[in-house]
Amino acid sequence: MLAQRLFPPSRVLPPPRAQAATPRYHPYPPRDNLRTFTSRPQVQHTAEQHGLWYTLRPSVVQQLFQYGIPKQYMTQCRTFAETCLMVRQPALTLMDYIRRSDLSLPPNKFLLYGRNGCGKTLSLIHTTHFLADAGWLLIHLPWAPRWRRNFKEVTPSSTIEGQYNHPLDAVMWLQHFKTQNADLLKSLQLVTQERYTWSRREITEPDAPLGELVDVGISRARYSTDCVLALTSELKRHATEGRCKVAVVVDGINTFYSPKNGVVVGSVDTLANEGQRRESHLPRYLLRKQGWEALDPFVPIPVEDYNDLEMRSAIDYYLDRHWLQNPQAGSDIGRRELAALSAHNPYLLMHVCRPL
Amino acid sequence: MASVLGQFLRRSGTLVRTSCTTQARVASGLLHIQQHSSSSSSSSSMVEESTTPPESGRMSKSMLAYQQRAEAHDKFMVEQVAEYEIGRRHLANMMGEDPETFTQEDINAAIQYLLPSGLFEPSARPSMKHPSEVFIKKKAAEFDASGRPFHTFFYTGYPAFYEALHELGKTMISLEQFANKMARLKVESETSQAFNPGGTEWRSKGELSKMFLEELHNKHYVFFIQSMNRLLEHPYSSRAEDFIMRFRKVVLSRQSKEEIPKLLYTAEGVPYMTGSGKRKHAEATVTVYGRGSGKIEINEQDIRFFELIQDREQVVFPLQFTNLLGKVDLVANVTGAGLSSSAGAIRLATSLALQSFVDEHMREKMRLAGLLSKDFRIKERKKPGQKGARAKFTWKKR
Repeated sequence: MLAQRLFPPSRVLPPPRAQAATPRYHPYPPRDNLRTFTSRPQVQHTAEQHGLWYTLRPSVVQQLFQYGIPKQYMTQCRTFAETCLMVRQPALTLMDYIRRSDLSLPPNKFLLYGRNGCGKTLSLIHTTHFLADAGWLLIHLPWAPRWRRNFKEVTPSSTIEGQYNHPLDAVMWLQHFKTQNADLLKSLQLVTQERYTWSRREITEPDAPLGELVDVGISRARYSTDCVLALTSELKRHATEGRCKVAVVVDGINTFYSPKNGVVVGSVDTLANEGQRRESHLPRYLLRKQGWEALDPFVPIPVEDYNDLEMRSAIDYYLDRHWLQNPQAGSDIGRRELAALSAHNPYLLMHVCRPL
Repeated sequence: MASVLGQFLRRSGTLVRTSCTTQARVASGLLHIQQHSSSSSSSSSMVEESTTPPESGRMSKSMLAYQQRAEAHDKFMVEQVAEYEIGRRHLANMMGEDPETFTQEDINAAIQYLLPSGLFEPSARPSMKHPSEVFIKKKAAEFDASGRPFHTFFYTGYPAFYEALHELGKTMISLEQFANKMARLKVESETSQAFNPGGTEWRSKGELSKMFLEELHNKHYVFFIQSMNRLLEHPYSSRAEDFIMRFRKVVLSRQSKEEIPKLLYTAEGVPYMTGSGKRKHAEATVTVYGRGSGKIEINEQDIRFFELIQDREQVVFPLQFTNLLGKVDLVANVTGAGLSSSAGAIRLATSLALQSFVDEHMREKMRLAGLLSKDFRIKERKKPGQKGARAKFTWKKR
């Protein structure tokens, strides 16, 4: 008491500052329900989640999407240290249809179409995650034009007349298939039903697990293409007999129906997606007559640019990740400017936001 | 005395009859007493008065020569004015107008009609002006018969200029005295008593030179303007407004003259306005619709018509500046080669259309931002003997 009177504190310390809930340099803080923490699309992604961002667990990404995610988006995900996708209408529609489809009937075919940069591939990825989560076996072609244009090697086929093989690509695909479906194959315990004679010494007996078939293809590049054929026919048979659900996911299916090339791999069913490379983004134009006849009937699902809700959510996400450093970015006028400059297109928005 | 006066009157009779202003000079032996008008007055004072000859009855040689020159000039001027008048009346008759009420503007219009010229420089085109505007004014006699100058500051070389400066100094002192008096009486006015320089600017060096009839140097001009600015800063400078306004000219704002078109309405009652703009060889016509949602359409395409973000920003800038982004729709049609110039043309057209949507204050801001000015830059011509407009051929030393 006396000491305090005699020697009062020379300086009054300021009270401790309360922690700000949101970063203070954004005048319009991102909305609270930016994210959804439901990582399991099968169960939890419904219309309520529209516009929210959900995180893909790294294990899932590694298992399923070594090849599927576009490179630029992958770079962004690495920068943000997380793989996030926005829940959007096309994916929700697709998942809804798949949930409700009658599996005893021949497979439904769905086609995602839309202009460049609208989100077809990412919607497809969302759906693939959903399918994997729901226990479907995936036959996933990450980017079909790779097989047509950027193949690594071409050899004439020894088994089938007039056919050409892409051995190395087949090996890569088999590896991809293995990573995606390994657990499922083991749990379902699917076995081969035919005898495959690769050479005099290498034979795959019937009733061997399918995993072994895949391994043969991976280890022996020479037989990898034939292995792929065998695998797909086996899976088809199993699916028809009701032992498993098979989903074929192809990104860029219209590449198979362009004038310079005929059909490369047999049947591509169920889910398909279109990559746009010409003036019109509509399916009839891109698929051409051959493809249309092959794929018809199908359910076309349009993928559009961002609407207002999604645009708001996308900018909120960038603000949340501190990607937009300009103080005006989150303001009303800033958002309108971003929307106008990117024409509400997701891909263009990414480009516009890069230097900001 | 009377005889001397009579002699003077006879000699200067012709001068009196002319358009010169003369002053009676007291003919006395006291040659020091002088009265002269300040030559900074705007009237054309051709001749100060001719002095009384000294008692010897002879004028100095320079004065004689001057007188002769002045007489000749006056005669010349009279002839010129008479010719001008005749010409004016002839012109009026030619044009079928009344000669009595034929003004200088009518003359200009008539000359432009009768003698159309495609020359770029206005001063090179044919014109008919009053001789007083054509022929340079000269200064009046600056010294008397004995060689004594009239103006106190004659020996500075720039008497009118320095007289103006002295008057400035005197004004400054009087303002200071007034300010002190006000402070002593503790009178404080609420409104500012300082001179308001809005809407006026200082006369240029050439104009001042013409006013003083003296060729001023840059240093004179700079010093003069600096000193006048100090006068303007005085809190009571509005009391010296007359003096200040002698050296300032009124500047008209061009935009207040232009009329902004009113908004048009579609059948549904949506307000819209059209604007057109050009840049290099691109021409754009833009219609801005009010009550919109921010749609931008260029030649029936999205804003993706422009690949470069720079071009898109040019299109979006007027809307963003006026804060109408997302509130109006834009429909643009652009022709002509070049994406960058198309973007510039659309920007100008949009800004001109947006003028009708915004208020006066925003319009002024737009003008200051440069949105309403056409970009006149075009590709520079290639010159012979050079590789391009500016680039020269490779120079070889030997």
